[in-house]
Amino acid sequence: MTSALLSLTLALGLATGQFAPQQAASDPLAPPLEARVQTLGKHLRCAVCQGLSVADSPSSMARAQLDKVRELVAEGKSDAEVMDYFVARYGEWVLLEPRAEGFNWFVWLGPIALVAGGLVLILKQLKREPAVAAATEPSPEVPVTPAPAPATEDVDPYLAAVRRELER
Amino acid sequence: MNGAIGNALVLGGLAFAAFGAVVGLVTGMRRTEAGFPWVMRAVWGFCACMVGANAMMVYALVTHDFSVKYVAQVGSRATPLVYTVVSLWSALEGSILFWGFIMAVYVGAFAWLHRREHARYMSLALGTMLAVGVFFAFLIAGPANPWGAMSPVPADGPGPNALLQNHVLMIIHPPMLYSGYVGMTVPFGVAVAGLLRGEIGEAWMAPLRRWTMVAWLFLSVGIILGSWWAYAVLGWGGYWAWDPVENASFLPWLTATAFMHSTMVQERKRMLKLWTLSLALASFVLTILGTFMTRSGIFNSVHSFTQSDIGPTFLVFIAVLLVVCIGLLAARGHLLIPEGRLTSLASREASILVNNLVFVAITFTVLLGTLYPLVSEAVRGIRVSVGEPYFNKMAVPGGIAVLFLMGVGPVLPWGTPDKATLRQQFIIPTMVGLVVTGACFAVGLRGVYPLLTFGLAGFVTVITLRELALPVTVRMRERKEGIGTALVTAASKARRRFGGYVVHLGIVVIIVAVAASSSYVEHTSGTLRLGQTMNLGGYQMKYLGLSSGEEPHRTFVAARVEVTAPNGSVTELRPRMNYYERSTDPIGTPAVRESVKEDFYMSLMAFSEQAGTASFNVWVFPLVGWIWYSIPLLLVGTLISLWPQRRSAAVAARPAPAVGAGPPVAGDAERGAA
Repeated sequence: MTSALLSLTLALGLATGQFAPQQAASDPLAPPLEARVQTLGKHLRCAVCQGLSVADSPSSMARAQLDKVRELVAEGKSDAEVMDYFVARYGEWVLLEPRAEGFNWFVWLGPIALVAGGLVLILKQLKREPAVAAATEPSPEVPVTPAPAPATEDVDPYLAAVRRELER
Repeated sequence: MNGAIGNALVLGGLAFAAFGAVVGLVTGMRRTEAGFPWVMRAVWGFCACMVGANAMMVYALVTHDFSVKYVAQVGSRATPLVYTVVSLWSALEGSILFWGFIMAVYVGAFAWLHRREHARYMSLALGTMLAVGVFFAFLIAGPANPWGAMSPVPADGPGPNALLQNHVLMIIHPPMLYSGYVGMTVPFGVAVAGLLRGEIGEAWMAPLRRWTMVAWLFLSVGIILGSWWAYAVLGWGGYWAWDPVENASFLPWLTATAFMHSTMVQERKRMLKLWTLSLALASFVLTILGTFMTRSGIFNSVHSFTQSDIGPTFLVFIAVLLVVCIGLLAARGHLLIPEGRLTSLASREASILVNNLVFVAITFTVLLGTLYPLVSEAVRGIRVSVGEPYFNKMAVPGGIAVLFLMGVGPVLPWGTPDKATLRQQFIIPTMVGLVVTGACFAVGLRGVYPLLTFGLAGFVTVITLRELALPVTVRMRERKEGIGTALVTAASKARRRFGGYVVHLGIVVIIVAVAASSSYVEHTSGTLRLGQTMNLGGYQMKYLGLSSGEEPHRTFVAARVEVTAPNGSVTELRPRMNYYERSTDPIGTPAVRESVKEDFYMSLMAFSEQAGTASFNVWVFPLVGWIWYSIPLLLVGTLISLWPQRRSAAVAARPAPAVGAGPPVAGDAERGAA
């Protein structure tokens, strides 16, 4: 019963075209300009979606926004001007990539600081070592060069290292 | 009736978990073994209650008992049986209940497999896991209770979320991911037990690593299936959007991967003990944080079902976890003194240290990017977004570093290397890498990142295959074994090594597929009239008309499109829109023509019966299918590593004269293989 009703409404909907969920977008521009439109679209957030960009989202809102980008680009606006246009209307939130300014530096420099700090720590480990290592090295490892040659004729040190790894 | 029984079972589970947690932790700390049998009984009780509660819910769903709140919320008589069962995890309350089920299975399996281990240690480990069980049982019993009684009892329900009914992957992806998430509870329990006792028994490193590997495998497969689902269902032509929830699943994966690498350094060099345990704890905390981000509705996402009131409970739990973890690490850190030293930057241990740094840096970046919008809004009152462009910019160099290390690490020996030998080992792989890059350039591929990625992929593949083949050829030469026997024995003598390299190959496949499909994607969109054609990347499409049909739970409209591939083969694709009974917006299903080389991907954007037009979004993705084809490699590799090695076999392997050349590594033989 319900499904019969559903198909009826669906048929009606189809006839009137009301189920066509979106309008087709405006026509693409010439290739170099359209490439800019797509790149800009990738950096703008669709206003009604869940974190998708204007270029990716299939929603009608996103298509309208992308059309606006296309219109602005066709008018000869620069990338920055297009961005500003959207920021003025939707706020900073519309940019999928936070601008590298003010408080936002945190999100850009944080990871770099972490990597730098980590590298320093690793290098420090290395530097502190030589004096201690000679005396107290408890590691069972033996450097590769003096590895005892296996019983066979094979003296390839690399092969020896692999063997040692396998013998466990 | 069903509701009352279900509620009672959950409360029973809560009681068992609380009892077991208290007994386990208290007796474990008092250094007595008396509590252990009681902890085991509590575990069995907890398992029985959780499994029973889930069975009860499935029964209520299947029998359409709409007096149960959750069934009234997600059930529907029109939904096919499979999706009715699956709707157990299609909304918040059910998914937390299902979480309890998986947890019961994990804790039960751990308790059973290790029942003969050191009783005091087991008491602590199981006590910790049951403490986590208390939290989840409390969630099910309280804030996310699915058993509430409906009055009056509705005649029918709305059915599960339409998006979730749209594809068969929805049946596999969530349980996989949950199994990955919940699985981290076990290593967490083991690690906390070790810290509480104040001595990380070396013997416990093996279970710690193995259980992490189990969770890691589920998490990997779950993430890949999730991306596949997004690709096959959402229709925007992508598989990964750096959605907060995708990020949430990626975070513990990263730390678990780092953990599995750092355990090698811990075993071989007795270094990084504290660090390794921190990674195990972090992986678990990140799964809980991920669940919070997914379920509490602080982020808008496909996954946050509804605004719910579980947020505060989660926040309290996360705070407690952080305090416990940091407190334990601080209090016990002095017992975990590194005994080994880093002697050369060109050594295996140094490469793993750098690997850990890279993984932690990616984890931190993803976490920072995901949480920064919340931070910014709280601190400055300004809403910002951090999305795909940011994450791509930050993660791509990280991914390339990982790829590079996957090649360099396996060549570098432990300890101090011999420079000349080392240089020689790098000649062939480097040449291959350069040749691959040159060949890609010659066929017209451009771009620094993709070419670098392909070159490095060649470099890593050669090294990995050489590492895999070397022991086999040695056996064939020295023991005169056939290639089959040699392969099997070589793989089974050093399972972790062999399996690990197979997984590396899988990761290389994924990285190449991601690089190719994102760098060389072709895209167009357009509106076609009946009989009109459009071209993209050598494919020609011709719009043939609309068709519609009915399935038990939905009706659909499909656009029939004749697609002629570059090789001349013709197929008819039917991208469609599905209309669910209780959902106003249609949900699209893209149509994909898959091939090994590339996917041709089409989604229907709009159509008009009267005008005889349809609008399409069309993409050609090179190599994209390889992301999911890599699953078997990950699966086989991890299973080889995990396959239990009989203790006797492990010991016997050590003195074998032809294989053993160097001094035996003290005591490591059994543990390494365990």
